Amino acid sequence: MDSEAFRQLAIAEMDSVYRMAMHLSRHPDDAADLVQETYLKAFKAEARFELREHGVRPWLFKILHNNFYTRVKKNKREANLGEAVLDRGEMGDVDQPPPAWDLEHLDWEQVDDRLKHAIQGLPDHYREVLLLWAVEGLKYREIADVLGVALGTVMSRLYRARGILGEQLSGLAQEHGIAANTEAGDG
Amino acid sequence: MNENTPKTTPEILSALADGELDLRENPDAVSQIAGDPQGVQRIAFQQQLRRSVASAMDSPSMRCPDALRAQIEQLADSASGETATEQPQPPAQTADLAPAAVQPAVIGRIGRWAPAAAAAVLLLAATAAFFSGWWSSPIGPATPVLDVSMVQTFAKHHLHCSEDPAARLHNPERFGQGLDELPASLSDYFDRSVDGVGLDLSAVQYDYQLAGVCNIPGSGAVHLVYRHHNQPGRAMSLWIIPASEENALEMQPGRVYVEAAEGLDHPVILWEDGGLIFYLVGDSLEDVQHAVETLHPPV
Repeated sequence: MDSEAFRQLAIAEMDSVYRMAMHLSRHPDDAADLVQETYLKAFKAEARFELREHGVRPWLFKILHNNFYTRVKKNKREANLGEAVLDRGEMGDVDQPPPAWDLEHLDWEQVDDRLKHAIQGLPDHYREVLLLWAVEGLKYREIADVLGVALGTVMSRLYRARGILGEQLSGLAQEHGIAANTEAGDG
Repeated sequence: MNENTPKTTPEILSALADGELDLRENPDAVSQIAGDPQGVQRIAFQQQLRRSVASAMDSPSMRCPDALRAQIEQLADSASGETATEQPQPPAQTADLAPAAVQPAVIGRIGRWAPAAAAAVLLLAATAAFFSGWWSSPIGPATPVLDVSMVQTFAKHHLHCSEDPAARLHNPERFGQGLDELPASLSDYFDRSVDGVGLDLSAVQYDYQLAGVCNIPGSGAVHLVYRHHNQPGRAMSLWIIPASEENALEMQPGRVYVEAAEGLDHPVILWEDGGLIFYLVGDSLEDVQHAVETLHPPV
């Protein structure tokens, strides 16, 4: 792929990269810095980019992810705190199967605010996987590549993230008189 | 729990429902879904959750600010000395892939199992039918070939180039004036004979319009644009690239791969034939199916 085509494709992904940077950093200034760093590195490294079956977006996300966690390390923030909290069971038992609510009776418009709050409260590891999957539409193996983790890790984190959200939304379901069936059944 | 080795069945069920696992390699999980009276409702919830997460976490404030956009474009310009001409476009819908062998019309997919709760019951029936068809047909595993962003890239270029092919395709003069001249010019361009390769879509009401060099999916590709005979707003795109091209996909000759999903406006069907890989993109799955049956009939 020639440079011009690469840059056109990369620039077309700017909204997605910025959105992800906002979700990671949670601040517009930090997000802008991350996006600039990401594109600077991408333009410098474009010769190493291979289009093949992947588009340019996962590649940009990978650079963004690495930039973000490099910053996190520099700032000596504890990126694994959320994971540790979860492992202690403080965020609920997410090994239960996902709820089987009668969705016809749930007003999903009302879900937005609570959902947003719940997502923002997710540990970084889970939030990033969830957002890459749900908002950016990446496949599991693309996410694994972006994060540099095993496919099973993506599967596990996504499952757990959804489990946590299901737990967090259970209050809303109960308010609407909707039983969240978390009986294990066969699944 | 060790994250790298998920052993709990619910994780596998979730992945299966997301269209990420091969049905045939996970028969136990399939049986579990089939035997779970609330399985469809559970999946419907997960799918709705996905849409709600996307809706909740995207907003105008999440769009790249104009000032930052200008800075990045400046970076690109200074890196290349040229100005990027193509404007960003909104992301297309996500897509899944299920390859179908031999019979292009047999298109199965599980990627977006439950688009809405109201459809859950219908979905159950459809899913059961799909399982049945899947097991009995000679199609391969549901291993994705194209990623979402590539499907979006094809859709974007399909729309962009078909709008005004004469202005947007590169070097169209290399490929002659009409369909009659195309095989010879393509043979010359690819340095291999393309005689006998299907290029005519007039049987499905699409007239050949123009061809040009394209960077998608690789620098050696040619993009052919077709226009619907009676509906000028409808177009079809066919990309051709040698299978020997450095970045070409590794595909099994004779197999037709379908990239289609609910909400995907521009499905992609791809196949390899005679050392060339073909990517057909259109404005509806039905149109693309009919077209591929014309260009690459079942053997």
